[in-house]
Amino acid sequence: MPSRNSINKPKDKILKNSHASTIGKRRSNRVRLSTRSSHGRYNDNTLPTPRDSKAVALYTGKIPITTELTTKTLSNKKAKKLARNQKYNEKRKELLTKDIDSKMEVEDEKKVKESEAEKLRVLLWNSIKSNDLSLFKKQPDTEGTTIGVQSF
Amino acid sequence: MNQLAIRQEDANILLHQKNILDEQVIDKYRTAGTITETGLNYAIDLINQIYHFKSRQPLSVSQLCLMIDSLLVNMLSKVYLKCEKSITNPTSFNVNEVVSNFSPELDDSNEYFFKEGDIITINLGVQIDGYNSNVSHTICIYPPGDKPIGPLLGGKADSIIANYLCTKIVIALLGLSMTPEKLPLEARKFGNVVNGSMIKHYVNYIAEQFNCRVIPGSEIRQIRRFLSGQNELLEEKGYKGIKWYESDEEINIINKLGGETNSITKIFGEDTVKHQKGDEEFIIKSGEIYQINLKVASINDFNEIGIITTETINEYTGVNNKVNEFKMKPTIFIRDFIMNYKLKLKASRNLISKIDKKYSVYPFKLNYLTSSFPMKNNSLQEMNEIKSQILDNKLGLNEILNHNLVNAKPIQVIKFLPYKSVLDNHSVTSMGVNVDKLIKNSNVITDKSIESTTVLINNLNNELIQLSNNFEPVYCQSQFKLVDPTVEQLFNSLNGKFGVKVKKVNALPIKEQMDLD
Repeated sequence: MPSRNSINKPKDKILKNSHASTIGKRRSNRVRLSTRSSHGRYNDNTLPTPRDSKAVALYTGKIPITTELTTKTLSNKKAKKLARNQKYNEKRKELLTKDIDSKMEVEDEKKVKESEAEKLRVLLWNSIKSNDLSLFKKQPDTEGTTIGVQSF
Repeated sequence: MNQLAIRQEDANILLHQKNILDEQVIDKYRTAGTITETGLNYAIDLINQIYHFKSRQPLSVSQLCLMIDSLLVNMLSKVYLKCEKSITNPTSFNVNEVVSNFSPELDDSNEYFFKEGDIITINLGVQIDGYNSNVSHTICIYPPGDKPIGPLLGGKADSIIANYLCTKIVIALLGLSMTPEKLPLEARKFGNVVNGSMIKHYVNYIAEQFNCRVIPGSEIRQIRRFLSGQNELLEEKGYKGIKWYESDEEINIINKLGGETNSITKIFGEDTVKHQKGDEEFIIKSGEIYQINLKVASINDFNEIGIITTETINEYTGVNNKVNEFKMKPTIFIRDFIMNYKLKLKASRNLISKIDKKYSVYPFKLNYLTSSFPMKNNSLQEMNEIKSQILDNKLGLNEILNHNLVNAKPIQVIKFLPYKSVLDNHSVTSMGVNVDKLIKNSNVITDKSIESTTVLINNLNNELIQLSNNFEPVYCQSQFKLVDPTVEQLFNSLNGKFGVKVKKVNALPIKEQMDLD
């Protein structure tokens, strides 16, 4: 039989064959699931129309009975990566707890300093409340001091 | 901050070579000293004649200022004819609570006179070729008579005596800087040479013995040619000196109550520590010139813990709430050469060119720019001429002031700030306390004394030359007494054969100066 590219190719025969096969495929498809238009509006057992909602989480009637949660398998590479990250996470957690401990120590020191300043404030307030001026004022002397001469 | 560009070689000549004490320089200082002493003598004489002997018609403070300034300028015109000479400190009479720059002009709306019991600080200074001598001396108005009926008593006397002794001890310590081996053993705990913390300790100590405190703004500083701290607004490169701040008194209070120094630095910030460090590093060397400016106030009348501070007065103070409050426009100005501005008004351009021609870096008053100044015979006619000419100068002043080509010197009064108000308020800043916010809680202090003098540490002859303030203090008596062997020893170093040699500069007879005119 001459090929497709030859001058005297059997054009009609090829076209007829391909046409017949596509028609055949469509027909077989139609047999498996019928469209809504051919089976009435309320028949559920039809192909979905483009208008139908595609929401995945929406309950649409029947509950499918499946035993598997996922069809994906964990690759060896991914498994190693996860294990490695877990190790790092543990280390990080250790560091964090250490940091918190040292921070607490610094805060304790600060508290000591603040309490010093607080002590000082209390000291100052007490002295002001009691108004004890003995530290700040000298007592007069019986002799006293005289300077200058009695003339202009 | 803007900076003026100066060649390094010129800077070396100006800052170092021209400041080396030699015969010529010392003579210029001495001449300046003589003129300030004569001016001070004239001021005291005028006050005696008017208020004590009643032999003269009362003159207002503005007239007194003008007469003394005229005398100073007349005297300056007869010496060192080729040098630049001027007044460095327009004569001011700081009465009672006022501590600085109270020098009213003739056209001031108020006429000020003194009254009995007033404490007056006379303040003046001149320079010859940049070498200057300043003086402040505190006197008192007694009841009229040939001599004081009795000594001045109370807080006023305390502050005058305390300041007299403080100045004396600073001079003694300056003298001992030439021979530090003669320092008393007790004083050596601050160091083997005379340093800032030693001086500050003894000044504070003496003031406290009389229930007085040193007023913030007091200063002991080195002066150089044309650099005597005349412009407070400019930061001086190579400044050397010790200054008193409000925070010094706060540290004093806390130390007395038994607080620790570390915790103080935490509360009052690091600046306090910084300038304390500066005091320790400040070491006096021979061949330097020092200006001692000590202000002391008595706190005897206040029955609570507090600190002394100063408030700047302007014409607006208390306009809304206090009727009889002292308020006054500043009258002393100083040119700021760093500022540049093209003035719009003709009057201001005229004024600034006059200022630039007549006054360089030193303060001036508007009456100095009139044609009748200096007065030749202090007549009323001359005064009236000056008064009318001041008005013309005032026209241009506002624009110049607004653009900071010229700055006004602040008039300040002393205030006592109760420590309670400091603690109540949380605005504790790094420089101690934000005083401006607390000033409303303060009270006026009138018992003050200001003494200042210029001292040369002459390394050529191993002697001190005290240029000014060689006057005896006024007759006064305090209830307190200073008993301290170390201080006694320091005072004694000023006397005797082996002690510090202090040469004094004397005033010239005023009559001769006046007759020559």
